[in-house]
Amino acid sequence: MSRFDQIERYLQGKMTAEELYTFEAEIAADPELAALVRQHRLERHGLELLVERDLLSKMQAWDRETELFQQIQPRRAVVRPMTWVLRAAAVLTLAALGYWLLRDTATTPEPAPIVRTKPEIKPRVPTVRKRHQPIPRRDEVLPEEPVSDMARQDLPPAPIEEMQPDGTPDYAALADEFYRERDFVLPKGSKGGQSGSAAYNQALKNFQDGKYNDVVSNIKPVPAPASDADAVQQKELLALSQYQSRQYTAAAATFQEIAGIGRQPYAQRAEWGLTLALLQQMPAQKGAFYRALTDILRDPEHLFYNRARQLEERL
Amino acid sequence: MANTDWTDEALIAGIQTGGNAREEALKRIYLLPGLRETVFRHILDHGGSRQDAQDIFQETLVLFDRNLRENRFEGKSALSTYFVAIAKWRWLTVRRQQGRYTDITPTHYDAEVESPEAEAIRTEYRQLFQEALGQIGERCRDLLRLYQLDHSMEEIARMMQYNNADVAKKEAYRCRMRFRELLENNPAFAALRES
Repeated sequence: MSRFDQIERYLQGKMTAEELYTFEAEIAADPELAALVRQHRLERHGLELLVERDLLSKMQAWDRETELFQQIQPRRAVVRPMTWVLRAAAVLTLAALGYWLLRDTATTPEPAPIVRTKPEIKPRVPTVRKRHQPIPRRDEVLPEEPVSDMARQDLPPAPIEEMQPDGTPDYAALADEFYRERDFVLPKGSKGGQSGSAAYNQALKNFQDGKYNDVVSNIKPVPAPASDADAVQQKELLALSQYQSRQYTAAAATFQEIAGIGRQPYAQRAEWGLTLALLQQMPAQKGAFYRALTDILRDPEHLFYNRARQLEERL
Repeated sequence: MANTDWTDEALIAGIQTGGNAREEALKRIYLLPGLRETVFRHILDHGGSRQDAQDIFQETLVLFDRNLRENRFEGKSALSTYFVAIAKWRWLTVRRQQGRYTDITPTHYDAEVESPEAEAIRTEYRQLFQEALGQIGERCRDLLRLYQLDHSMEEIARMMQYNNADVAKKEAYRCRMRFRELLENNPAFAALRES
């Protein structure tokens, strides 16, 4: 048996008690073997990501299956209480109508002569539909972005709880719900997040402290060569800070630039960021938003495929 | 064949057997009446949103599956209780990572889900793993996933249409080495390992 297989059997817990005893003694005596075992263990942690990704896509499929099942179930439980309400309403209406007729016949006055009058034209009051504003994040208060109401009527109906009083889905709230900082940067205090240049580390610290304007003003918009991971990481922080500061147009442009560089996983993360930045600008950016969403949905291996599917279902 | 009598033992056996049995058992747990509601209620009562609750519920199934495959479940409680304990632990971890104050104390959860070392590895190396896995190709990813799920080489050969188990094994080794090489060649990986 090769060393490779032996280590794998050890890590998979497939060794017999005797084998285990011998092998662990060998590890204790041989630092090179111990290092190799550590390496295998680390790689196996990495391979678990494949299992995780597969299971997450299965969960999406089960959710869809269940939704479909619920849709084809008869809705008797919902209909029954409604029929009682309708019946009660009908009885009350009939009673009221009967009372009104009886009262009317008892005291019928002479019919009044018909007089034609000119209809009064009231001055028209302009109606302004306000976009629902999400609660400002942290301590940021920024001016309202102008939003066109065009094309709102063309949108597919959204679930009732996501609709605003005028019947349009609350895209901004939906984007807020789908945006998770941890999808892009490691939480504060993680060692892995501090692996870049001093400039990047400083920008990351500012970002994690919520000083988004500092990040935006300190990161210089220098074109990044594809191989320069540090520059791409800085751009990503810039895009995220623009997003957090609600500069969605700028955020979308920066995300698009990162996606264009093509370095993974930043490019896929940027595609997701772009989608959310465009969702924040709906319905003005309807076409661009659906193009960005469709791009992710075309690739089942995309890091954000499942999230994009969830978003699509919500829309 | 579908198992219609899902006791805890049957669910554990299904997950540890792998393949379709694992998938059926996990689906059963995922759709178990009341389980999702319990997890959602806990997250919503402890400062989370519905989206957080949905994420935690799904992440819990991933951890639950891994722990059962790795024989970490000691059978001290019912499986559903264990599942909820993992969810509580996971939410506590997320809240701490977010730097949020939490009033959840260790008495609120009773499952040691991962060792702190394993958890740190998964968090810190995640991006590097994703980067490397993104470059090994779809076929290698499928093969390594099946290998990680403990499928035999015969099964892998059949599922991935290799001529025989030997070919599958050679291919699995090649993919694994490619994964290793990509990690090793990443300066961030070396820096992280030395830190």
